[in-house]
Amino acid sequence: MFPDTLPSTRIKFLFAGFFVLSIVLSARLAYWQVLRRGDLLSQARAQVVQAETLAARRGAIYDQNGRLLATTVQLQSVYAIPQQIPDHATAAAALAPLLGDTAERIRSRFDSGAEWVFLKRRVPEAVSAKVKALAIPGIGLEPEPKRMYPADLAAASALGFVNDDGVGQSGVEASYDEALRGIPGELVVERDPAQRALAVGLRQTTPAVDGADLVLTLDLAMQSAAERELARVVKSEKAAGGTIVILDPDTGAIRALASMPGFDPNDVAHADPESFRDRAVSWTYEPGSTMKAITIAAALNEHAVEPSTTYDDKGYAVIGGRILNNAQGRSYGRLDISGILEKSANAGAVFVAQRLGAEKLSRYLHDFGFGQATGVDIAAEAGGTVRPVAEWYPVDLGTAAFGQGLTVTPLQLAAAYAAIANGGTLYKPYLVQEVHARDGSVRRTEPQPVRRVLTPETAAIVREMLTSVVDRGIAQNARLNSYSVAGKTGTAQIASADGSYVSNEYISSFASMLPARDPRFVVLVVIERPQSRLLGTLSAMSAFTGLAGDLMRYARVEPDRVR
Amino acid sequence: MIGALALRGATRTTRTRTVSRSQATRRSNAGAAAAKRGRTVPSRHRGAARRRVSFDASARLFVLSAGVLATAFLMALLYLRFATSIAASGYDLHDLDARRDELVRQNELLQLQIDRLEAPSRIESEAQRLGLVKASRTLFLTAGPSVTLR
Repeated sequence: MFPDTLPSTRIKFLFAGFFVLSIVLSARLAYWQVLRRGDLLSQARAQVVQAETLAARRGAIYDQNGRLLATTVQLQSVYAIPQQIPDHATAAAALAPLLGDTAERIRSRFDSGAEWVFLKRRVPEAVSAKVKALAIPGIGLEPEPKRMYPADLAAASALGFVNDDGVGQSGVEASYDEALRGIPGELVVERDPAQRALAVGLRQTTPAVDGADLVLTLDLAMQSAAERELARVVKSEKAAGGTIVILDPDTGAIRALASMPGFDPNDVAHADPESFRDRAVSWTYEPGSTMKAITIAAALNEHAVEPSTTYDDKGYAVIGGRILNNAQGRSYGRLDISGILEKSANAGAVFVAQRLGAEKLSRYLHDFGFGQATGVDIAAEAGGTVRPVAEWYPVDLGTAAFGQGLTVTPLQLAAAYAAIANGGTLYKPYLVQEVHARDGSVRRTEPQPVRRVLTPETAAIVREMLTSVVDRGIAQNARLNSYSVAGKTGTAQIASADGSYVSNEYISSFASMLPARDPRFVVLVVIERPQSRLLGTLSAMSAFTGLAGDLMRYARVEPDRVR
Repeated sequence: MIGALALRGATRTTRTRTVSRSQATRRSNAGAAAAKRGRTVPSRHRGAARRRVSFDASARLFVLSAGVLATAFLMALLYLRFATSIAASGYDLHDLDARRDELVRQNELLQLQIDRLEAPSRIESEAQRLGLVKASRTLFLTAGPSVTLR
C-alpha cells in the first residue's frame, strides 16, 4: 500500500503531526464540552428559552351597587424599530396626525440612533387600528396595561390614581395598593425565532395571582349628585374649592366624598397637582360656628347647662381679658341654649364653654375625634390640630367654643355630627366595605364604634336644637319641603401665615343630618373662599338643598313632613 | 514486515488446501466403502439439503433484518409525523391564544364603554340635553295594616 521507498522518518513525523493535532483538537473539544459546558448550554438555552414576567392584573374597584369605578385594560402602545423603516420621512408624515405629534419630532426619534423606541404609549383603540392599517414596516403595537376610570371625574380624589408602573399614588389606589396589585408570576418557555412558544419545548409556569377587587361604600349616584352641586356652587360663587361629605351615621360608611378642584384620573399628566389633595380628608380648616353644636352637646352631656338655661346676650363676651364679639356685632338679649344655636351667637357659645370648663371641653373635643386622624382607609389623611389644654390661654376656651384656634378635616366634622345623629356613638369612617380576593375569600369591613361620646338623650336634645336652627334660625335657607333637617352653619375665617385672619375671605360650611327625626345621612358642605358678599353660609346651604332632595328621593326615604 | 506477513498467510492457505484435499480423499474413500457395503449414500442430496438449510437461515435472517429495518423506518416516520403534527398544533394553539387574548381585550374595552355610558353624570347631562326635567315631587304610597297583613 505504501511505497517501500517512503522514508520511515517522514512517516514518523506525519504520525507525530497527526498525534499532536489530535491531542490539540481533543483538548479543545474537552475544553468546550467539559469545562465550558455550562456556558455553552446556557448560551444555547438563552437563544430559545425565555423567562417572562406574567403581570398580575390589578383589581377593579366598584361602588356599593357594583358599578365599576376603576379597572385595568390593555391598550396598545406604538413603537418603532428605526432600522426596519424603509423611509423615515414618509413614515413620520403618515404617523404624525394619528399620534397627535409633529412629523419632525417623530422623525427625530427615528434618527436618534435607538434600536427600539416608543412613539406613543397606550393610545386609544381607534388610533391603534389606524396605525395598524398603515402597515409600515418597523412600526409595531404592543399591549400595555392602563388603569381606566369609566365614571371619569367622579370620586377621583377618593379613588386616587396609579403611576405608569401601576403603583397607587393617592386615595384608595394608594391605601389598598398591595391588595389591588396582586403577585406577578413567571413563564419560562422555549420559543422559535418568530417568538412562538414551542409545543414540545420547555414550559414552566408560575401563575400570577391577580389583585383583589374592592367594593366601596360609595354610591356613584350620590357621589355624582354631590359633585354636581359642588361644581355648580363653586362655579357660581367663584370659590377656590370645596368638599361635600355624605356619611351613614349608623355605621360610619362614606356614601360620597366630593372634592374640588378635581382632576381626571384618566389624564393625570395634565392635572394640577393641588387637585390631587382630597379636601375632605387631607385638608384642614378652622370649622367656625359648626363647632358650637359640639360645645353645646358636651355641656348638655355634662349637665353644665340645661336646655332651659338662659343668658343675656350683649353681643360680646369677655374672656381672659379679650373681647369676643358676635358676628356683625349683633346682640340678641335673653337666649336659651337652643337660641344660641339658632342665632349662632359667639358670646353664647363662650358662655356655655365657661360653664363647661377648659378641661372638659378639651376632653370632649378629643372624644369627638378632633386633633387625631380618624383612621379612614384613604391615603394621606390629615389629623387636624387641637392643642393640649395645658397650652391653652384663657381666651382659647372661648375661641374653641365657636370653632376658632383649632383645625379639623371635613371628614372629622362629619363623623362628629354622625355621632350626634346616631345617638351618641362615634364611628370610624370607612370607604372600603369588601375586599374580594382571587381565591374567592371576601373580607368585609364591619362598622367600628370608636367610643360613646354622648348619651342618647343628649344626642336627641341636640338634634332637636339643630332642627330649630333650620326651621327658625340662621339656616332657614336649608329647609326642605318634605323632610326635616337638623343642621348648623359655619362661617370660618382663614388664618394667614403670620397668625392673623385674612380679611374678606372665609370658609362657608353647613353640617347637617336628615331626616332630622331619624337621620339616614349626615351631609357636610364646605365651600372655600366663596366670593359672595351676601351671607357667608348661603353658598353652602345652596349646595345642600340642591343635593338633599335628590338624596332623599334616591334613597326612597319617605317624607316626614307634610307640605 | 508486511512481506513476511503475506508469506505466512500464503503458507497457511496452502496448509488449508492440503487439509481439504485429505478430507476430500477420506470422504471419497468412505463413499466407495459404503458402495461396497451395498448402501447408497446421497451425497449430492445431502449437500443440497445442507445448502437449503443454509439458505433458509439466511433468508430468515434477511427477512428479520428487513422487518426490523422497515419497522424502525415506519416508527421513525410515525414519530416525525407526530412531532410535526404537535409542532403545527402548537403554532395553531399560539395563534388561538393570541386571538383569545385579543377578543378578551376587545370585550374589556366594550365593557368599559358600557360603564362609561351608564355613568350617572353622563345620563344626567344627556337628559338635560333632551330637555328632561327633574320630578318636582315624589308620591309615596304607604300600605295600610290590612294590606300589610295580607
